[in-house]
Amino acid sequence: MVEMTEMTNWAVDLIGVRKRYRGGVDALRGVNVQVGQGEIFGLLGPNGAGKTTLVKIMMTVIRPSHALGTILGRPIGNSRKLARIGYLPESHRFPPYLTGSQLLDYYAALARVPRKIRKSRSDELLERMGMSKWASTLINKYSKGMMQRLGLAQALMNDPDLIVLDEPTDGVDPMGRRDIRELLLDLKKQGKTILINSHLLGELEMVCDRVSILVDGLVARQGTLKELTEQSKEYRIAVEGDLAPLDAQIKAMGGRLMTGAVMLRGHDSEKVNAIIDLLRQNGHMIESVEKRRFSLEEVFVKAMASASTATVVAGKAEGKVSR
Amino acid sequence: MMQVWAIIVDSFREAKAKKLFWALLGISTLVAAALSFIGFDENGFSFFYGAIKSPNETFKAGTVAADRFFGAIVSNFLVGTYIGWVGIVICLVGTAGMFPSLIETGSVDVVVSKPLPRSVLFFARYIGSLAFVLVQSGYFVLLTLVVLRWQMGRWLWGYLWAIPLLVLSFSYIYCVCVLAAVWTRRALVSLVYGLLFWVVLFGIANLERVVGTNDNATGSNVVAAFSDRGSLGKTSLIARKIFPKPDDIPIILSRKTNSLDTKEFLMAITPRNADIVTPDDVRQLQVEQLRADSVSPARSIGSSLAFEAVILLIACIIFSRRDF
Repeated sequence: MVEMTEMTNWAVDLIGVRKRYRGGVDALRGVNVQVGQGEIFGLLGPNGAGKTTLVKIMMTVIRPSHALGTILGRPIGNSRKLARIGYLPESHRFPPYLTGSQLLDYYAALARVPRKIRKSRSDELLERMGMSKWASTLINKYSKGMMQRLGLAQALMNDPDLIVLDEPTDGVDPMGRRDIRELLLDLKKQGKTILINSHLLGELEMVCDRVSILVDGLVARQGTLKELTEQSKEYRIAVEGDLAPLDAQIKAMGGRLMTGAVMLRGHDSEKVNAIIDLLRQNGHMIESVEKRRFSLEEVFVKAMASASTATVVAGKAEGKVSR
Repeated sequence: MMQVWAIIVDSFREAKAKKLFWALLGISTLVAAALSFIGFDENGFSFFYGAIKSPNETFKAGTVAADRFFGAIVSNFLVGTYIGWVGIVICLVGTAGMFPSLIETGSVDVVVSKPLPRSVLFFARYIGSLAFVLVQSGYFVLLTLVVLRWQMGRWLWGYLWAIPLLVLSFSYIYCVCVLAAVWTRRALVSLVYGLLFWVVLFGIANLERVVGTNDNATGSNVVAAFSDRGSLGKTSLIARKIFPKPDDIPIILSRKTNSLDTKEFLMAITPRNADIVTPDDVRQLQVEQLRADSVSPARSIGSSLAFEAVILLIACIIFSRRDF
C-alpha cells in the first residue's frame, strides 16, 4: 500500500481502478496510478490498453466500476477540484459555430472562471498559442493543428493545478509539437502537474518525469524514465565469424547470440570481459563493444511483449509502485 | 448561475447558426405581411388594402365583431395552424440535433468534465434549446401584434400570451425528442420520435372528437353523447388525461384574445346562406364548442407539464448515468 505520508504529495492517487463495460469487456482491471505534485507524467500503452478510459474516469466522463483514491486530495468527481483541473480530450470536437475567443469564454464559464478574468486570460492564452489573429474566426475554419492549440488553451483557461492532456500533439506539425513541449515545461516550472496520454513515445521521453505503461487494462511498468531505462541497459559485442559453436557457453554466461553479435543484458562489465575472453580464445575478432540504454520505445515494446506472455504483474499487487 | 447562463447562450448560438432559424424568421415575416392584407372598412371586409371589398352587415371597421374576428384569426390560424403546426415542425427540425450535438463523442467530454452536475447541464441545455422557439414565436407574435394594431386600431395585448403558450406547446413534444436523443445520440431518430409522438397526440385528440360525435344526436343530445362514452371513449379520456394536450393551446389563447368562438368564426367566413350550413355542421360545431368549453387551462397545462416532467426526469437520469 502507498504510505499515508506519501499520499499527501500525490496530485493523482488512484488505487484499484476497474471498469467493466456492458457486455463484460474489462477496460481496466485494477489500475494503480500515482502522479506526484508538479511532475509531468506520461501514460503509455497500445490501443485498447485502457488509457483513455482511465483519463475519462478521472474527468468523470465515464463512471468506474470500482475506484479508490484521490485527485488533488479529494475523491474523483469532487466539484471544487474539477474546477482546478484542465482537460484536453482525445479527438475533441468543439462547437463549429463559435469563434476561438467565444469557445474559450464558454468553457471557462463552465469551469467557474469569473467573467472579469476570462477576457484577459483568453487573450493571453491565444497570444501564447500564436492564435491571436484567429480569435474572432469561426473555428470551423481552423486547421487540425489550430484546433489542438485552441484545445490546449481551453484546458488552461481556469489556471488549473492539474492538466490532463489526451494526445495533445495529435495533428500538430513538428514546430507546433516543439511549442507544446516548451509550453508543458513552462507549466511544470510554474508548479503545475501534467498528465499526458500519448502514443508518441519520443515526445513523452522529452518531457516526462515518470511514465506508466498500461497493457490490457493493467499497469505493466511504472516509474521514472531513468528507472525504466536503467533496467534495460545492455552490451552489444560485434564479432566476426560463426558463433554458433559457442552458443551454449555464451548462454551459460548470460548472453545471447544475434547475427554477428553477442548481446548481454545488464551492465556487469566482468561478464562482458569474460565473454570477450571466450570469443578471443576461440579465434574471433572483436569489432566493437557498445554499451546502450533502451529508449522508452524499446521499454514499451518489451513491456508489451511481457504482457503477451502473461507476465504482467504490476497492478495485481495493490499500491505497489515505484517512484 | 454563470454556468447555466453560459449553456443557454451557447445553445442559442447553436440555434442561430442554423439556416433553418433564419428561414423560419423569413417565413414568419411573410405570414405577417399576408395578415396585413386582411382588413375592414365601413362596409365590411377589405382585402389587399381596399383592392377587393366584401360587404358585410356584422363585420365592419371599428366593431367588436371585427375585433373578435381578428382574435379568431390569431388563435385559429396564426397560432393554431401556422405556428402550432408549421412552426413546430420547423422548430423540431431545428432543435432535434441539439442534444445529440451536446453528447457526441469528443464534444461531451469537455463539458461533462467541468464542475457542474450533469442534471444542471441537462436542464440548462433543455432550456437553451427552447430559446430557439422562444425567439421564433416572440418575433412572430410581436410582428403580428403590430400588424393587428394597425388593422384593428388597438393593441391586442392578450395575444402576447401566445409566446409562452407556444413555447409550452413545443416543449410537450420536444421532451420526447430529448429522451430519444439521450437514449440513441442520433438527431434523426430524435426527430422521428418527436414527430411520431406528435401524431399520437393528434390521434388521441381526434379520437375524443370521433367518440364525441359518433351518433346522430343534435342539439342538447350532443352533450349526452359527449359525456356518455363507451370503452373507446373511456380509453380516449384516460389518454387525454395522461398525455400532453397541445391542441388545447389555441383554445386557451382564444380566451385571452377574446376571439370569436369556432362556430362564430366559421359562420363569419361562410357565405351568409343558412342552407349551406347543414345539421351535421351545426352538430360538429356544437361538439367543438363543448370540447372547447370543457378545457381548463390549469388542468390542461398542469397535466401536460406533469407528463413532460416525467419524460425529462427519465432522460436526465439516462444522461446523468451514461458513460460517454
